[in-house]
Amino acid sequence: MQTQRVWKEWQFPAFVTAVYLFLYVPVVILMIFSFNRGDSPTYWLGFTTDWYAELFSSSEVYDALTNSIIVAATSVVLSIFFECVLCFLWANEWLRILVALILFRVGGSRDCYSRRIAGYFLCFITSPWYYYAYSWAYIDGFGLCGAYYLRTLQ
Amino acid sequence: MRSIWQREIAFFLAVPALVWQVLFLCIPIALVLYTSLHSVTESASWYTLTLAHYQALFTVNHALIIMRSLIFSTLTALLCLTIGYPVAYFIALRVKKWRLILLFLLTLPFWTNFLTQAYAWFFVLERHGLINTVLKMMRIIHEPLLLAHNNFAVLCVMVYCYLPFMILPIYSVLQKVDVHLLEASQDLGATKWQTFTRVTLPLSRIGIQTGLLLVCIPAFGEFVIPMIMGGSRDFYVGSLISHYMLSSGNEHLGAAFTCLSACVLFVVIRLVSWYISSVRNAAVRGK
Repeated sequence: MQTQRVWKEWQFPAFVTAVYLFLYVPVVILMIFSFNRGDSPTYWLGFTTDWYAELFSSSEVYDALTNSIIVAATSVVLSIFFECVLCFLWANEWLRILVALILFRVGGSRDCYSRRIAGYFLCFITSPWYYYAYSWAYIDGFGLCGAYYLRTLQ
Repeated sequence: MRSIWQREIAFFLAVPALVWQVLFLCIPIALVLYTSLHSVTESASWYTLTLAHYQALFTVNHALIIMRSLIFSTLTALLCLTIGYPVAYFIALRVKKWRLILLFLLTLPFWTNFLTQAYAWFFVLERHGLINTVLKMMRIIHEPLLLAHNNFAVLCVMVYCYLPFMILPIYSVLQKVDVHLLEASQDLGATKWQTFTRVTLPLSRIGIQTGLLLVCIPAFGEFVIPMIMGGSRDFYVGSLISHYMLSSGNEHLGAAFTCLSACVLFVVIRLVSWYISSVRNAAVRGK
């Protein structure tokens, strides 16, 4: 009994360490190979910082960075705003029941409503998110931007 | 008497979010449904509806693609559960001082871009990648294993990318578990295994459920990982939809396939949860 316990005590942190290695090994190797002299992803041909020099001298990188920051900042602000007001709504018992009734037209015990609303939001993840963007591109060219907002909101 | 503004302030505050939902979720979904039903013949007006697109989908190949995606998302979810549950348990119940650091380390790789993570796996899996090099150095293999550009690579990267979505819900449930319950169980003579199956596991049921849904549903529609890692040999639901929409420009068929696969996923999840709850009810009644 005692030996089994000792073995288990040793095994558990080892397993967790292995999982963390699983998470970190690809990223660390990617970082190491960013200093590789060759452009092959598999052979190590010597140390260089040329790729970084090239990266910082290209204007596309700064354009991409600006776009990403704009999209990220606006989605953070908008989703925090909407989520705050939605939480406010859900905190109100009667409005929650009202929404559930409108959405599902069914009765049930009270704790069921919140679960149903959660299901209502969950079911939107089931179809690929970029499709919304695609259908919106027809209408006003809102494009991928809308899809990013949408994904953050979900 | 308070005015209507004061009484219904929560509702008025929620209006922008609901409007946003209708504009960017309900209307696009209705458009998908409409596109999947809309006829493409010459004489068709905007209200000519047809089931022809769905009819075109009733082939063995489409059923196989849906089955493959279902099997892969289920496998991913189960693998994530078996790998993620011990980690969540360890962080929630075994460590105190390191808890925040471990949680931070868990989310840190996901600060990098999703595409970067997928490409990073090439360095590990390819012919001359890490695994093959290490195995060769240890003289376990002589010929490099074919690990990249197949379904194994897809599964590997899917488990990698979705693991935090499994660990975090289970952690948040386990963290609230009263440790005295586990101690009481052991004081009353239960072995460690009995404590785990009779106390810890039932208490973490909600977390497991949330984690399985959070992994299963996006994994079912995943199209980036199969496209990068799968060598575009086998189609999955997500990659077929993006093929219909973007490469072949057949949006009617793509919309119909989107609706069909969403329905299949919904039915499968309903059936599984119904089965689980019926088993659980039978077990509770049995006691």
